Formats: sequence, C-alpha cells, structure tokens
Amino acid sequence: MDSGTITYKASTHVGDVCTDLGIIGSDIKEHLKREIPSKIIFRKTKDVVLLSGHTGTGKEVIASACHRAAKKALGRGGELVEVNCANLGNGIFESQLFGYKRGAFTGADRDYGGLVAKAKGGTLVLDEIQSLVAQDQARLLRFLGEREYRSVGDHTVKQSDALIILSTNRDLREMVELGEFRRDIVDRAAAKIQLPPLFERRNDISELSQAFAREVAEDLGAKNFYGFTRQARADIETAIIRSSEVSIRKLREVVRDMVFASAIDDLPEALDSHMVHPFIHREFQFAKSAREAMEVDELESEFNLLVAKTKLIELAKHHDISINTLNKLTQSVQGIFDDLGPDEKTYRRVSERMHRLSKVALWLVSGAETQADFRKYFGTTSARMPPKSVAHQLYYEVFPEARK
Amino acid sequence: MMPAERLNIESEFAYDLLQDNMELILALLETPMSKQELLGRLGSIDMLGRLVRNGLIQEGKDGKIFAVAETYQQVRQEGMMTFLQRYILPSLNAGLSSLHGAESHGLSRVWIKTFRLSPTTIRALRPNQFQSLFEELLKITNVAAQTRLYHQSVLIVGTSRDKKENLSENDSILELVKEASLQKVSGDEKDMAIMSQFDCLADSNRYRLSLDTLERALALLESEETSDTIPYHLTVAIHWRCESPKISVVDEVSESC
Repeated sequence: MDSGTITYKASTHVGDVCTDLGIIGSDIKEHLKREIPSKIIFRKTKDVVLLSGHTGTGKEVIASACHRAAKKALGRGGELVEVNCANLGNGIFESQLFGYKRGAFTGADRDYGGLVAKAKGGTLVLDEIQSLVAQDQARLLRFLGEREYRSVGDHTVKQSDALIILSTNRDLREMVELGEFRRDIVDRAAAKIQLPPLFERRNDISELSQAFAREVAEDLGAKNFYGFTRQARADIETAIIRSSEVSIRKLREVVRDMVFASAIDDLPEALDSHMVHPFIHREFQFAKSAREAMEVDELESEFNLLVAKTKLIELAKHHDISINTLNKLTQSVQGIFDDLGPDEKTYRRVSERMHRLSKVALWLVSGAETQADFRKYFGTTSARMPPKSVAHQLYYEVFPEARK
Repeated sequence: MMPAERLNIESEFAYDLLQDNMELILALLETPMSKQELLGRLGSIDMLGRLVRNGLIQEGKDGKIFAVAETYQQVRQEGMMTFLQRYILPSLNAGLSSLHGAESHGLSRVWIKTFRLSPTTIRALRPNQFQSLFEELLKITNVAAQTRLYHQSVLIVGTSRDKKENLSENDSILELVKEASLQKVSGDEKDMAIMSQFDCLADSNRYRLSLDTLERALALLESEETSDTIPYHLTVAIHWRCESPKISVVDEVSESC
C-alpha cells in the first residue's frame, strides 16, 4: 500500500463519517478530510488531540466525527465517552475519570471503573478542558504522559488505549501566558485541530443557511419552500464575514427567526434579499453598501488566487504531475519560506528544511513505531526513521507556529 | 400565442430559476415541449409550477409549454465572485484553452483588443453597439438548424481602467476581468465597464455565422477609434459547447492599439 492509498482511504472514511453525522458545509468537510487523517488516523490515535474552536462551531459533533473516523479506519470498537470538565470540580475529577474501589472514600459503596476505562478501545472527550483546576490539571498531565492511571483506593496500574480529545473554546496558549493553564498539557497534546470560525467558512455559510431554513420549513409543512435566493445568500455571507461572526448556533437562530417571521403570512417559495435585510441588519449590522465594498476588497485577492491557480495548472501539465501534488508541495515550500527571515530565504536553506520535513512526513505516514516496522514499510534496510522526539523537533523547527 | 420579444428578469426568484434551468429554457426557446416531455426533463412538478408562476414559461392552447419571450434579459443578482465563476470564467477558460491548443469542451475563440474611444462612445457601447450585436446574434438563432444544437455563449468584457503591461495572454485576460468587475461594482464608474453574456443554442452553421457577426462588430468598433481619446480594453469570447472537439477551427488573437 503506498502513502497515496492511505491518504485516499483515510479521507474517504472521514467523508463517509461526515455524511453519517449530517455535517453540513463543504469547507468544514475539506478541513476535516485534511486534519483527521493526519492528526488521528496516521498516528493510530496515539497522540493526544487538542480540539479548539469558538463557541458554537460544532466541537461536539466534530469530536464524534473523529471517534467514528478512527473506528472506521483503524477498526476500533470502543465507545465514545464525553465529559464536561466544568462538571468535574469539587474533588470528583480523579474518581470520575479513573474510577474508585469500594470504601476508598466516604460514599464509595461499590467499585466504579471510571470514564477512562469506559472509553477502552474508543474515545474519551474531555470538553471545556480549560475549566480544570490546577490540582486536576496535574493529575491529567500524569495520565496523558504515560497513559497509565490508578483508580482511587487501588494500587494496580492500568493502561488506556483510548483516543484522548481535549476540547476547548478558549485560547489555551493565552491562558498559559496568564498562568491559568499548564503549558505541559498543551505541549503534550501533539495533535492540534483548530476549527475555523464561521466567518472563515464562506461556502458553509450559504449551505448552512439553506439547510437551517429548510429544516424550519419542513417543521411547518411548507413543501414548496426552497430556502434563500442567491442574492439573499450572498447578503447573509457578507453579513457574517463583515461582522466576523464565529457561531453556527447564532446563524441558525437568525435563520429560524427569518423563516418563522415570514411564515406569519403564507411562507413564500424562498426568502429574497429584501426579506432578509432587516434581520441581518439587526443581528449583524449589515448594510447593503457593505456588500459592494466587500466585493471590491475580495475581488483583488480572489483574482490573485485565480492567477496563481492558472500558473499552477500550467506547471503541473509541464511536469506531468497532478495539480493536487503540486499544490501540496507548494504549500509546504510556502510554509517554510514564510518562516525564514528576509536574509535566510535561500535555495539551500529551503531545501534543507524541506528534506527534514520529508523525513517527518514519511515517518508519520508509515505509522511505524520501530525501525524494523519502518524498514518493512519501505521495503529496504537503508531506510531509517527519525526517533519520535527528533521527528517532533524537526517538525516544529520547520513549522514553529504549530508549537505556539 | 406568440412569445414576447424580450422578458426582463427582475425578481430574485425568477433570476434563480433561470440560472437553475438555463439549458431547458434555451431548449424551449427553440421548440415548445409537451408537459410530459418537460416533466421528464425537470423531474418535478413543483419546479414546473414555479417556472410558470414566475412567468418564465407558459402553457399554450395546444397544451405545449413554450418560452414566454425570445430573449430573457437579466442583470446580476448575486455576489460578483459567484457570478464570475458561473458565467464569465468558464467562457474565458474555454477561449484560453483554445489559444494554447489545449483540449476544451467544444469550440471557442477569443479576441483581445484595445480601442481608443471617447468616454461618450464607451458609455454608449452597452446600450447601443452591443445591444445591436446581441440582436443580430438573436436573429441567427432563427436560422433553421441543420445539425444538432448545443449551448453557445458569447461573452463581452470591457474596461477603461489601465491594464498592466507585459502580461501573458492568460494573465492579461484575468487582469481585464478583474478591472472590469471592480469597475462594475464602483458606483461612479459603473457604466464604463461591460460584462455581458449572450446564451443561446447553436449548430455548426449558427456558430460560424456568430463568428462572422462578432468579427464584423469588432471591425466596426475599430472604425470609431479617434486619436485624442482613452484606451478601452475589450475581450470578446465565444464558446460553443459541442460534443465533437476534433473539428478543427483555426484560432487567432487579434490585437490593436
């Protein structure tokens, strides 16, 4: 099996999972097709995942997608266990997470296995991880490091093979700077998945609006209703982007308001821009002139992208390679290039870093744990994988922003 | 009942319906269809009802469904980028592919020109010269078809904004579209930019006649040039989406200053 096949299969699994879960939005699906394979599947769920995104960006459903994709791609059979850390205060974090023996403390009238044990072979999602108090953060850190734990009142050390997802709507690095969160937990989460806010998901805004509107219409039994006109969708997009709205939940509320309000008389076959303007003006301070202003702003950058794309197509044809491959290579080189200082942008420096990065990529894709696995994977005795610690070091050297 | 000469699409609902059912409306412009046949192509009675309710098609006394006008005229009612992606760029891409000898779906041709025209002439281009051009193209659609019909688009993009020098053909056209679209969304300069497209069905004969008509229109414009005026950049493209790309047509680029 070559790396292309692995990537293809992994992203197909993610696509299937998105469909099963009813995840709407081509932008978020593309994002997940890139992130879940590289952050979870290729790493065989061994690295702790930090899933961050603003309130209302759908972290719960994305965590569920991660669990299901790992299940499908890696044949894992365990269940998805989710817990909100905000509810694990008052000294119950340890006993709830790791379980307890009967008589371990007052009220412990029976043995309890705990959430980590429940997630055996599956996924443990620790939501609102930022709410953990310092003492519990220390307990969690010990567990994340070795994946070993002991139930309260028990001396037996147990191992966990669960995929661990730490989920948060806060910027943990900022909390680290403020001394409110432990840096080592953030560092321990080697796989970071950042969900883009709604205003950065242009295509999704339109697709989500249509879906939310149709959902209401279905409840109302309005069969002829088809959603929003193109112009109305363009205006909703502009309103969300201009106001930097992050929350899907907010969009859903506003769309529901629009449709219910229009249903007071007979619901028309669609809502046009005149019907949506009062709502988006009130909720997102949208003005019609904003659309034209945004078009002017965007056209410039969109056209630059288009010119670059045309060039890429010509290059790919010339070298007889796929556009996707060329695209990925370009992105890697661009990442390296952006990271170098003005005097360092030389061919030699870029190619050195590219070479190091390729080693890391090969190691990640192979999923090997030992040199023997790695050689078996590449079918040669001369292949040598970098040790995990070196690989991470190299990766962060090339992409230091991933560490921040 | 005779179809009207022109239908101006003003409502957003009708605009969307026209976008979603362009091929079908073009087919109805050629030949009315029975309700059964139309339903077979639409796949839903709801859509048929919607097209009728929004005044795009009508049922005749003979039970046939026909297009209500010979021409459907619409102005953009959506974001500029989605509009460009749907109309302008596909036609241009086809033209560009033909310039480079690459395969494209159907046959196409593109002219890149720079004229020296007065602001008054420029402002009159869309309502006068190009409106007449579209009417001539419309007449061509009345010529009896001899072979199979395919969708044909004629695109005109023009701007009085300066263009960067020494660009490749591809970049030059993209630059022109960018400047034209920016000018189009800038209130005070709006009428100096052109971004119009004419869609119809054509067979090989109509395609050839359209090519001749476009050549003539451009030559006519050349005759209106004067030396003390401003440069006006114009790109004209025609794209006939026929299914036999092996037919060879010599493509050329004409430029004048």
